[in-house]
Amino acid sequence: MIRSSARFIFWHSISRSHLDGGLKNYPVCAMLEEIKREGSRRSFMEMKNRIFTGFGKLRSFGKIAVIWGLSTLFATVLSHIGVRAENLLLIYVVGVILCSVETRSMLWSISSSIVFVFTFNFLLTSPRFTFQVDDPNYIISLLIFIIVAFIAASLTDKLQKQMNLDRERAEILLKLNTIGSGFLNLSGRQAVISYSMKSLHNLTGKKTELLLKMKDERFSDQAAEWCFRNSTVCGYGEAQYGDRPCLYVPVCSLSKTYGVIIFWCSNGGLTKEERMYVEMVISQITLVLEREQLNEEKEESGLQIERERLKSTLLRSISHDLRTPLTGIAGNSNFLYENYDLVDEESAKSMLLDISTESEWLNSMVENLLNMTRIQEGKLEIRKKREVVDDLISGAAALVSKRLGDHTLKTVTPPEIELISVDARLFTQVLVNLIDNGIRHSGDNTVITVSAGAEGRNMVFTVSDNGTGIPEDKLDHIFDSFFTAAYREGDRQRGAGLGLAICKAIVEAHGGKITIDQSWKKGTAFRIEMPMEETYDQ
Amino acid sequence: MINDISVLVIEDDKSIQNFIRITLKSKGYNSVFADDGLTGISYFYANNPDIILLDLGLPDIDGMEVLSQIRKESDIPIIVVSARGMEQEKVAALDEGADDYLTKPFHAGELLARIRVALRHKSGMIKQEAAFELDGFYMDFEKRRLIVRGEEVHVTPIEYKMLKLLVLNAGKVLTHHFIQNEIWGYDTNDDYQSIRVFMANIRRKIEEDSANPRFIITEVGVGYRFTEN
Repeated sequence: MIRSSARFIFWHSISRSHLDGGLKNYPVCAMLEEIKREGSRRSFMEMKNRIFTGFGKLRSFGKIAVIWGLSTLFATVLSHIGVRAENLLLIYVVGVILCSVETRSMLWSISSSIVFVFTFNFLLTSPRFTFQVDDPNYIISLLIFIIVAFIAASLTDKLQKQMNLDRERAEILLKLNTIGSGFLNLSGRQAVISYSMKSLHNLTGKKTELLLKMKDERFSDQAAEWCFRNSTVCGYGEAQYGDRPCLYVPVCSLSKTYGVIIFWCSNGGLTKEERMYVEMVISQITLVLEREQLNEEKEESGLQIERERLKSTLLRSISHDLRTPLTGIAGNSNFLYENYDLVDEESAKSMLLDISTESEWLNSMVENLLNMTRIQEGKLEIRKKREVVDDLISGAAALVSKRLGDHTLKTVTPPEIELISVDARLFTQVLVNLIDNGIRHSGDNTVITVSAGAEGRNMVFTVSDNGTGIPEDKLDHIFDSFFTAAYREGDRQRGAGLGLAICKAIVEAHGGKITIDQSWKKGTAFRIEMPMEETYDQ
Repeated sequence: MINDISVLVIEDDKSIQNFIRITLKSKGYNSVFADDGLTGISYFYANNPDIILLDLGLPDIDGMEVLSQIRKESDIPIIVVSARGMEQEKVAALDEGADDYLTKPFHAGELLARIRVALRHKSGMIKQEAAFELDGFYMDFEKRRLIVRGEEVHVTPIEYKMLKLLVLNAGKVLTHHFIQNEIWGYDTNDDYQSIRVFMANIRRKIEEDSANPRFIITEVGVGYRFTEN
């Protein structure tokens, strides 16, 4: 009671000086300037935080001081009018409650109530301006006052805490809502994983990792593997693997476990509420994963259907491709056998030549078909080697030489010796198929030219003829599998469109491009662009 | 016409056997046929043929096995037969000691040419001539000169070596590996890229149309061959 006077004087003087200074306190501004000049944002932020906390304290103190001042003023005025001391005390009660509301911690409310009590005692109870009381009733009033103040303080404190909690909850629910709607737009496993990890980190403030189980491989982390197998939480603070620094939560739906989420608990484990939220996110994750799986299965079965369709078309095509030359071979040879003595030499020779030519055809066809079945199975075995362009062209020329008939084959090689990375056998077949196409479809007596030249970073091969061109309406489909470009009448449709489809597949498997040169006026020209590394320098 | 060369044909397909028999007969060769590898090996021991035609796709044992068995005993010329697309098989056989190869389906002319060349090289009838001449291609080994279609052609030392190697083995296929070893003495792992480029350079110097070569034939995936006629 005696010391309280000193305390009161101390408080009073401090409050006054700070009230006068306020926020425009010069030294503080100078400090801020200096820090800004240093350019260190982090320490600036730290400083800012500390100052604001300091300011916060100042503000609370300021508020209390104001309330104290007003209450005292009001009480004094009323006492002069003649209002009794009991009512004046109630004014202070209001003041204390206001202090509780306006300040953050219980400490302020308690200390303000003590201050108010002593003010009341000092100013308004007789004997005035002393800390003594005449009427012992006042002691009871003062005690009750303190109790009331205390209760008010704790109530407002609780209220504030509750409000904070509600606000936090509202924030989290908003976050969950955003996370939830974010999940709706995800596609692809990778997107799901990174989005989930980001959201969970957002939600819990902890470093997170999401491990999804692919096929049957085991997780390298033993604890994660255990968590997955038993679909139970383990790790930090749990029964199993409690000594680990991380918490392992299984990602599971009712029917299936997909993986494990790992939380780094460097700043403590997950609260019960946080676990609840994590479970909510997990159920979203499982929904999305299930959706992804269904999508994948749908795509796979779609592909399967496509493959079956291609297979049956291929079978039909093979039948056609093989039967056509075989008809010639069978027919001619059989006839010669049966009518050997009756056939004149010239006819016999011509038939024999046909048999020879048709069997060359068959040879080429078999090569194409073999390649085609390899492509059908989803892979095309390419063995790339650096080959000389001249060799590729001469190789193709040698293979077709016997079936040129009345056609002429011209070759144009690049001025320098050039190398490209190709599978020689496959690429030669591409050129052979294109030359064959010219032989079949360009008409009689045409000149077929195979040329190659570097154009920028590509080696461009051109196979062209000066015969009848491809009709406009067939241009779009020319490379479609199994399309027959029967643009010459009669039974000249050999080999379906397999040849060209294979060309496309092989060229594209090498990373190249094959097109029809639309600017070629008389006849047809195919253009192959193959990627080229630098020329070999000797 | 009959000569006293006997050919051992190790081949399981009957119609191919027939075709070969008739072709060989047309040139007067004697032929003996074995339907599988083991029979082939025993016929080799029994009949002492002059040359062997060996199909690599035999029903009982691997053709390579037959090849190595026979090679252990003898230097007899062996020509292997294999399907198109089995280049690695052919190269392996050639590097294992086979002299030449044929790709199915093959023509009678090719068959006879291979046999002729193989016999010629093995019979020791070829001694180093002073020069080689073929259809406008003239190579003088003593003077180290090369004249093609009337004009002198300058080649680098390595190109000369390569050309000489091919020419001395005219008609016979030489694998990349063989050329590499003969010219450089050691093997390489650059996929024989340098050989390819050297060869392409040589071709450009001596061929009229390098895409339609007259002298040096590229056997895709296998090696090179200098024509003999």
